[in-house]
Amino acid sequence: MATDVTRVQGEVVNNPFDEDKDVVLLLNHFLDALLKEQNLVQNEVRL
Amino acid sequence: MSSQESSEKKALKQMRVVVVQLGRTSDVLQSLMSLRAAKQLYPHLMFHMIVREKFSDAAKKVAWLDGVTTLPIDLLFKGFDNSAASRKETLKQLSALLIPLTQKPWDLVINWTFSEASSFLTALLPGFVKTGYSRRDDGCLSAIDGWSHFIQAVVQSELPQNIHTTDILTTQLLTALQIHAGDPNPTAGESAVTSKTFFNLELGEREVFQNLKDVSRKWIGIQLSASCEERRYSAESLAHFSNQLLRRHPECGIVLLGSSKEDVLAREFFEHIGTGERTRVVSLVGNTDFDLWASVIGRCHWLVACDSAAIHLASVLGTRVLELAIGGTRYEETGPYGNGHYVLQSALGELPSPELIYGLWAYASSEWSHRRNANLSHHLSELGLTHTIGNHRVFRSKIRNAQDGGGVVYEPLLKHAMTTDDWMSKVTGHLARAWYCGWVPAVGHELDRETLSPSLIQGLRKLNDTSEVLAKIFQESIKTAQELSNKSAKLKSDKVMSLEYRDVLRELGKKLMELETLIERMGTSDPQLQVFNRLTKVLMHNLPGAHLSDLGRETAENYKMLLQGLDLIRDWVKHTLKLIRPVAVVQNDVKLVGKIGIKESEPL
Repeated sequence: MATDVTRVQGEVVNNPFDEDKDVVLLLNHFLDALLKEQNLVQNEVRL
Repeated sequence: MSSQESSEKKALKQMRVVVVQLGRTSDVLQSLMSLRAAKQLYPHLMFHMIVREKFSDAAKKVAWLDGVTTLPIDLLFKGFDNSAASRKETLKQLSALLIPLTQKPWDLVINWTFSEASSFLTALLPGFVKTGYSRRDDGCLSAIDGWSHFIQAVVQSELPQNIHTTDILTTQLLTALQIHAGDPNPTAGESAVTSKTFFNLELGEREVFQNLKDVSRKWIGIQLSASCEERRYSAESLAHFSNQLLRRHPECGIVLLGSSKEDVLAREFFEHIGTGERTRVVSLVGNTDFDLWASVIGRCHWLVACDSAAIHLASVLGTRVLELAIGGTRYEETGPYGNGHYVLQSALGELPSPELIYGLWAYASSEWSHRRNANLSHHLSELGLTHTIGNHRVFRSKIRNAQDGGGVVYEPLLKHAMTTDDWMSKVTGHLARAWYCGWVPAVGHELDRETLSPSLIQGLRKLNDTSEVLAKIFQESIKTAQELSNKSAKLKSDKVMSLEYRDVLRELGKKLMELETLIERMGTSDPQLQVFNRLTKVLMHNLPGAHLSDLGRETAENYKMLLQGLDLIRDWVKHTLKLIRPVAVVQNDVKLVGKIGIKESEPL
């Protein structure tokens, strides 16, 4: 019944920052998501 | 090192593991606890962590991490106005931060944040194996492994379940390591993960003494802050609790903890503390960096706190915790980790009285004398506090033996009727272990017959019927998905086929969609089946196959897994309903045969 909790992702991609348009898209999404979460985190207690 | 040891070490697979933790301090602390357990078992592996600069203190203070990358997100967004120029500049800075992390592929990328932003970061990191949330090639969210499905479908949907987050993370990591790095180092010890020396703190006794004034006192830490306002216990009530404690225990002192945001709460606390007691209260609110905060908590005998990072810090440092779990805190997932912590869970809409908190603390702190032979109800009754118990609940944490599945469990100290959510929490925890650990505890072995209430039994009788219907839907779904897989396997292409064939496949696809809608309805009509509805959605979203035949096969496999889980629930229902049947109180074999005309073959 147990399942493998990991899944091999296949071949490792080259450095995704090598002028890869997908990476630019991912970075933009990352930035937007961080921005969205930022407002929530800023209101959190530090400790 | 002997040559044999040296060759054994060489034989161990080297791996570079990176953990993405963009959460708050409490999340970082829980992650560190899980990572520490892994590092003890796999000391030769390299562990790296990515955290937010704002919450990075704890990660920077452990010696056994091979690297910590901090993301200064606050700084990144300073002056950000979302204009094209501002975006371009911020993206440039973000890239500069990430490029060092992408130069060499990681053997294992673990995302323990379970957030949208972290999924994009995980997708950006090159790695052989990934767990947690990431992004597919088409940009959709992907929960890669079984435990991540469980977190998305159950934990983040706030469905009841009783596996602690630290245990989920640890199990997820250790399973991945066992698969990809092999069995743990045979010479690895079983020393405790938590300890007073967990962090490399720079403060010496002198600095701590300067702050606490008198180190000979038994210091009780009180954390004024909480993860959110609804989960905070008022400063005034904490002061009343402290008054009672200090009056009856002259050997004790109170140290107040919190960030500068809690200055107002500290003032409120002092307004209500007795004049005689005031001298034994030290406030470090707003004056603690991580070192001092951890050093003080590490020296406290107890920490009294609501849901907050302080609870995890005390757990890591081995300081005993009395958690005030109010405002719907999910203590089973985020409560204090380890042996001997106490949790006072408040009833919905009610707050525990300071007297009750004191009574509980007095019981907990005198365990050494009564060795837990004294009953908590009796103890509270002797203090005249029975009336304060109300619907509040009290639990004591315990680490299960490895042969019982390990992990932390919270044992109730006061008898209370089991609700359907309580029951479901145990069952869902059992399901997860069966699905993702391959380890199955005995059905219902943690159930207490005396706590089964009529309303629970009523709910279970309904569940007995509804689960039977759901089982039939799952069986039909398996059959349909298998048919879809078999038929599409014969195709040379997923796109080019006869019109007749296309209609057949379309009908099968439509039927699967209808069955999924039925599963959703079952989850709505019986909340106990909601876990299956949520998991169905998550599993179907995360099908990895690229071709129709693969998707059909994977769908069938997922429904088989869900059906196995449903069978397990039905076993729990049967077991629980069996528990309420009347049982013989006296075992004496009274022979009535022949005396009142009963034949031996007749049942009594």
